[in-house]
Amino acid sequence: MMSWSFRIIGFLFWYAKEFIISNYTVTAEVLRLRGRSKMRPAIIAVPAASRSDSEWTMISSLITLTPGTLTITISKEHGILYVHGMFVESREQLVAEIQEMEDRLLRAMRRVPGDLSRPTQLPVVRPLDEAGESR
Amino acid sequence: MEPDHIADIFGLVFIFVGIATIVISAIGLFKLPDLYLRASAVGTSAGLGVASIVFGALLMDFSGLNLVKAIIAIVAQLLTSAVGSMAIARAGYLNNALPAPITHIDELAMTRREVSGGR
Amino acid sequence: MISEWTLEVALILLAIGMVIAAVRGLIGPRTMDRAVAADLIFFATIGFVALIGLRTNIEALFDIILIATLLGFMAALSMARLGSGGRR
Repeated sequence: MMSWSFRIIGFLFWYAKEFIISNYTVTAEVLRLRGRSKMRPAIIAVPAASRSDSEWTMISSLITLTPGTLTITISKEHGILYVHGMFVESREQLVAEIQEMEDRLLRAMRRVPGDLSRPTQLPVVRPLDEAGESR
Repeated sequence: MEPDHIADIFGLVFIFVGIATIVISAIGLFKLPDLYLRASAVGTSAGLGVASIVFGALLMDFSGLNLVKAIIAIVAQLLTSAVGSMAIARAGYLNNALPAPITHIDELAMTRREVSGGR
Repeated sequence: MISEWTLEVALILLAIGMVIAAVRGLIGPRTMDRAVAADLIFFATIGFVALIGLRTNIEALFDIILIATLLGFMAALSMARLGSGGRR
C-alpha cells in the first residue's frame, strides 16, 4: 500500500520533469535556424502493454501531452500505439522512450504491476486499393 | 519590498513565459512542414503556455478559493488539450494528410488508404 | 503600480501571436491546418481573458478561465469531427 502511493508520486515527478524537458526541446527547435534543424520526424508502431480502456486512454493522452510525441491512432486488438515523434534517431530509441513511460505509468496505476508483456510481432497491414498508390 | 510586490513580479514572469510559448508556437505553425509537426508545436502552448499564464494570474490575484479554481482549470486544460490535439491529428490521418517528406520512417503508410480500419 | 504597463505589453505580444496564427488559418492549405491554427488562437484567447481580468480586477476571473478551458475542448473536438467528415 505504501509503496503504491510512492510509485504514484514518483511517476508525477518523473512526468513533470519529462514535460518540461520536451517543452524546452520543441521550443528550441522552432527557434533554430532552418539550416541547423535537428528535426527527424517519424511515425512508429510501438508495442504496448496496456490492457484496460483506462490504461489505453491514460497512456495515449500522456504521450500526446508531452510536446514532440503525438499518438495518432491505436490498435487495441494488436496492442499497438502509432506514435508520431519529432526527434527520432532510430526506431528503437522512440520505442524505448515510450515503453519506459508506459512501464512507469502502469506501475503507478496498478496496485500490483502484474503482466507487463508486449506483443513481439508487428501486424502485417495492407492497403485496400492498388499497391502503387500507397506512399 | 513587501511580499505582495514580490508575488506580482513572479506572476508577471510566469505570464511572460506563457506568452512567449504561445508566440513561439505561432511561429512554429509557419516553420514546420506538416500537420503532425504543427500539432506538436501547438501542444507546447496548450500545456505549458496556458498553465503558466493561469499560474501567473493566480500569483497576482491570490486567495484560497482562486487556488482551488486555478488548479482545476490547469488540470482540465492539460487533460482536454491532449484529447483535443489527438482528435485533430487523428482527423488528419483519416483525411489522408500525408507527413512531410522529411519524415524518415512511416509505419502508418501501409494503412493510409484503409480509412476506417484503425477504429 | 508596476504591472500597469507590463500587462499592456503582454496584451500586445499576445495579439501579435494571434495575428500570426490567424494568417496560418487563412492560408492553411487543408482543413486540419486551419483547425490547428484555430486551436492556438483559442489558447491565446484564454490568455487574453486572464490578462484583461487582471487589468480590470473582476471578481469572477478564475470562473471564466475554468469555463474557457472546458469550452476549448468542445471546439477542438467539433473541428476534428468536421475535418474527418464524421468518421471517428
